[in-house]
Amino acid sequence: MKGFELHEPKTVKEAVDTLTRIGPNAKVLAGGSDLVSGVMKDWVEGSGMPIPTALVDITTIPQLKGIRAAAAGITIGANTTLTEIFESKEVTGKLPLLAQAAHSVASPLIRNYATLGGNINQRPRCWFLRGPDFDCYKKGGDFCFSVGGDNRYHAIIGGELCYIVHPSDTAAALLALNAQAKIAGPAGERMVPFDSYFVGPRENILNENVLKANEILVEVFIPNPAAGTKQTWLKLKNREVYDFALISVAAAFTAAGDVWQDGRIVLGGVAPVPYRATAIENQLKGKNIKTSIKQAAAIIRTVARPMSMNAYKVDIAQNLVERTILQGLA
Amino acid sequence: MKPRFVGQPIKRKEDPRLVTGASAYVDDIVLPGMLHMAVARSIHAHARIKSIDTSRASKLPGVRAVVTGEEIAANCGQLPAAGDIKNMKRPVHHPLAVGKVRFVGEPIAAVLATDAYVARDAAELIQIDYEELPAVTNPEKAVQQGSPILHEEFSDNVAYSFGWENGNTEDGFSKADTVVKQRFINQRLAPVSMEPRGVIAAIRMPENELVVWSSTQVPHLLKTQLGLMLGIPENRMRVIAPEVGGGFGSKLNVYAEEALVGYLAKKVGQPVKWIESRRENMAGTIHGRDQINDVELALKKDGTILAMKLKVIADIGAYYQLLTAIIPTLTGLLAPGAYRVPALKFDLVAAFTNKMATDAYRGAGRPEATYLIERIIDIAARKLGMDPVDIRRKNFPKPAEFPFQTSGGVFYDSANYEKALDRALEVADYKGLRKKQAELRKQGKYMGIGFSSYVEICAMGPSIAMASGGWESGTVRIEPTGTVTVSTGASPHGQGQETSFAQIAADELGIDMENVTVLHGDTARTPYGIGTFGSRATAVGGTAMYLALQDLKEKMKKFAAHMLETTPGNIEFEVGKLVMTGTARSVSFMDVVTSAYVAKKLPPGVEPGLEATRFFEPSNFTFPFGTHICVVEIDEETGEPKVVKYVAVDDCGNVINPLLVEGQVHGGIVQGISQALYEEVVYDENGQLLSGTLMDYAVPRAHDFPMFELERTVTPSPVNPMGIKGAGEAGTIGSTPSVVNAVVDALAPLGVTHIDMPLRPEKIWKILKLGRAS
Amino acid sequence: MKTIKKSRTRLEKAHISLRVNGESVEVAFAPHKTLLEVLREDMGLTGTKHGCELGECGCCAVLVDGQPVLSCLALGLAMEGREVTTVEGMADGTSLHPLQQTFAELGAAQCGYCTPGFLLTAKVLLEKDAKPSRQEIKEALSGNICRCTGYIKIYEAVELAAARMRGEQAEPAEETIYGRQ
Repeated sequence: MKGFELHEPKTVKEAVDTLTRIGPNAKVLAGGSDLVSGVMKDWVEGSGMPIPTALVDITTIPQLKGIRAAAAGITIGANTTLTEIFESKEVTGKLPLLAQAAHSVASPLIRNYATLGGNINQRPRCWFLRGPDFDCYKKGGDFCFSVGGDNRYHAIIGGELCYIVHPSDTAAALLALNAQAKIAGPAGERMVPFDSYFVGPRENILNENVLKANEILVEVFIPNPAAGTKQTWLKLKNREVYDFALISVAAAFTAAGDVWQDGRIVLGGVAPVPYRATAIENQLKGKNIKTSIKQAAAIIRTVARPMSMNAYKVDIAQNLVERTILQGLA
Repeated sequence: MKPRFVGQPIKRKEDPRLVTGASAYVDDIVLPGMLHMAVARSIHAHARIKSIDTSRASKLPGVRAVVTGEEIAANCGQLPAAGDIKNMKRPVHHPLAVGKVRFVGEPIAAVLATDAYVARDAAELIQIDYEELPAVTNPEKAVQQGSPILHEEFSDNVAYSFGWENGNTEDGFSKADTVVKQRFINQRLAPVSMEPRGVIAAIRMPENELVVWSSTQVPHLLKTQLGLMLGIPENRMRVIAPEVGGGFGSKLNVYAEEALVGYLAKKVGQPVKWIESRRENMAGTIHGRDQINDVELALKKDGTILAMKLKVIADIGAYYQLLTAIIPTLTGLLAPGAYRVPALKFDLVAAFTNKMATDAYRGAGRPEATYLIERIIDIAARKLGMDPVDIRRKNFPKPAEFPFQTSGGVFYDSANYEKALDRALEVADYKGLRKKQAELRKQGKYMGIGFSSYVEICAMGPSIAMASGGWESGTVRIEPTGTVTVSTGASPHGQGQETSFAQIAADELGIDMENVTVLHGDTARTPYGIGTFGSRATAVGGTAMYLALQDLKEKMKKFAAHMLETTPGNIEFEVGKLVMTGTARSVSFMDVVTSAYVAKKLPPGVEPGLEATRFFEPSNFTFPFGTHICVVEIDEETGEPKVVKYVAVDDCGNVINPLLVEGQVHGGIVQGISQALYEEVVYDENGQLLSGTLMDYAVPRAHDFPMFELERTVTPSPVNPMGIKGAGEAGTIGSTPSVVNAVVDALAPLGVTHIDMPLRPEKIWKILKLGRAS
Repeated sequence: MKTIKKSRTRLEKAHISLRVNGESVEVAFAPHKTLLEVLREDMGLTGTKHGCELGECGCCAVLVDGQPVLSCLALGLAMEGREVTTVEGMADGTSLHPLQQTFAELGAAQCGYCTPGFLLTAKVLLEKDAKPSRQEIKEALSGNICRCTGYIKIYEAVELAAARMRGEQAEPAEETIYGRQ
């Protein structure tokens, strides 16, 4: 690893002040399984993605850790580890979708160290981005190597310029649960729904979310799901463990008998952001799920723009949506 | 004397130091004044080096030296490559590139610094100006006219072409009722030993000797080759393979970094260390496989095989490493598999491409053969409407026919293929499986049963077949106090020969295993030897030790006979003593040892001391065999294949330690299944390596497999006195085709006859989709 | 707030206090180092291995405050006041941990390189769950890669150690060590 300056703030304000003072060469360290290994130790860099010269370790801020249940919902500090999340009775009781998503990340060794904030804000796993020798758009270059290259794992929806898929399992679950992010910056704190937390390459090719260089994710608030909400998580990987998702589906919905009332379906592994399939949700509204899901799930075909090697992901996405919803219903 | 240890599952002598973290691998060794090397590598697959500016790197505090290709080319020999193939093109291969780079990761410059971090910082500061050249990564395109040429001293990228015919192939095809054809891609793999490579070199006084610690499988060969490259007389070279964290063939080589570290240690007069990173390991340590096999099989309608044609295109990468050229030729030797194939025509073209060299990876040339014959015979069975079991049985040679000469040109030593097959069918409940399959098919589900009745070439091997010689050495010394030191030229690195060799020595001498120490991996402490690879350490190296033990026993019998006033023919070994046959008279083992060393009453014509060295030259390879049955179920919506049952009946001849054999079989099967399902080295069209990390390469993890049901049959080999065949590679060689056969069987209702590996969900999904559409 | 300056020359050292294998220690090291590098290079604890240094193989697993973590991803500087256990601290004096014994009995180590990481990960599993199922063992060990053994003997060794730690007089099954002939 290259040399760096380490800052260990004790409060959110100290962290934000430090980030503001140092500027874009400072990066937030939130557990570090991605930043340390995937970027700093692997020396992945480019003009738009310099190797950080300063790390602001926010795991030293006590305020950012822990799970608090209140009447309106559950708040999870950004520094809470994935293991703590799926071992929490509050989370497994009320938000099994999030617990399952957290549990499906990588391996126990990673989950013991990786935090919720780090998981949400990690960089994508594109093998061109992570290959030290590809100067791609995301690194500040002027090319996307997946367009003419091996794109079997790349985006089928919403890829523009850059065709990464969003790597976070918990992000898909949080979006399905209509969660909000509390962000702290120089101007104070703001709440951002996950609906508008993630940004695609057209909006900002160098970053995958709304966080500015001097902002940190403080905590996540998940409102209590309506009574009887069905929550399901399915993730397909090449190998049973440790892989990132080929496709994942997070679903949270309510049904009267077999009839869809309200809910969200979010896909991971298909787009540069966790992809909310609103068209499928709308199609299901007020309909018998068992008889309509096949047709509804097929809507994914109309929005998908597969690349040369990843058309399979469209079918798998369709099948996995169908399976997730039916599993939730059962 | 009944064996007390051989055949028993004795606990490994190696383990106490491994489970406590007490052992030293190369990177655990720290020498006073040690400097660290880092290597600047090519980021292009094919480029001319216009200039190299090392000035910024040299100025970094802590940097002691920066060397580039010209200096190394002038002072150090080229990397060795074995192979005696007619018309073989031998490109220049310096440890650091000179003028041109030909694969991503090729070493260009080396930096020496006071610590490893500074060295790496400095390597990043070396400015290399390239002129990019078009790259070629497809071996078929590489050998066509107009392809970019890697080595400009030659007119094309054909490294060599090679072939032979045994029997009359055309005659076989002309008499055939049916011919099946298929192209098989045996994808490029990375060996991925958990310990990456590493080297330390230091000049040691008073001998002015270059001592090299390397994570290697072949310390003796490395000593010879490094001495030649560095111009150091071999008697002032010493190579030590300390604890070695796995090799799988990847450390059966002589690498650029080994020469560079040696050169720099000599140059600066201080110890130098280099430790490979995982990214370097994926890009710059040899790969395996990477063959295209076009196979045609001619058969009668009853399933009898008449002849086979095999065309191999081997993608060997940019340069030859030590055995690069030889490995693909082994595929022809084993192509007939466990079957009577009366005629075989084998044609091989090896192509230079802009990739890392291929070389020996567990199985090395034989898995490709096993895969193609086990796949094509399944394809033939399907075409003829035969059960895959019946077509195999039909073509097996019978036990009485051994030694059996094949059209691959080798003599199989001994076998009973049918016995292993029958046992596997019984364990797997084959009839029950087919019944279940029929039921599942009715429900629209995909389940498949796959076979592999493999044979493999082990115990490498007779010297005539190996560039380095195929013998092995063993020294046994009974120390004056009665303990026994065994030194072997083999170089185990996880296989457990410290234990199995001690079992053999203790049984032969009638002593306890605690009194036997097995030394290996240090050229100064062991007789010159070849090393550990090709499932040879026990069958060849163990036999050398066994012969040395026999020499010592004969000598001890002379002492005992002298002491008991009888003839050596009347003396037998028992536990702790030497006994006069048929009497109660005996002398203790210790008394005989003492008399051999104090030498006061030497038997006439007998020298003092108890030490013997033997070199065993095997008369043939050995040929382990067996049948593996794999059952898969396929998720029809996602295309995910899941191995739900795995039965393996293996025959590796006599077994010294079942615990060790089981371990070899388990690990081998997992590597073989993993080739079928997950692993693949991926280069893009420009020669950039995409699978540069363990995540992207998809090494199997704990979750991925069912329990294996393992059994053994025992058919001793006549090639060596202990009847051992070898067990190191069988699992890898045997398992891969059974998995692919199972998946193809599962998808057979869709008309599928073949899918290329790895069988990742997306490939199967495509087939399911096309199948449904039609 | 604590700020640790980076060192241009990589020669400047940081100092922290922590507990390693039950003993309080102070250690000085270049501040850019990971826990793995500090253990191996600055404390001489080379039992912890590196297989990828990218958090993908588990060879470097150690316990930090009783939890298995990948020492190649943890900064040395973050270890101030923490309790670290490495393979060197697994045995109780001269008597090996039951896992160390069963790994040896069953041949669950071959080349031995991944073994320390497996042992420590399994140790925590057995502390949390005295009788894990095969599936739970697989899950707990899924972050560790072994290229030699095919994992089966590792699972069996964990099960055998678990049984012994529960006080059962467990011996390896015949088939486990002999195979079937």
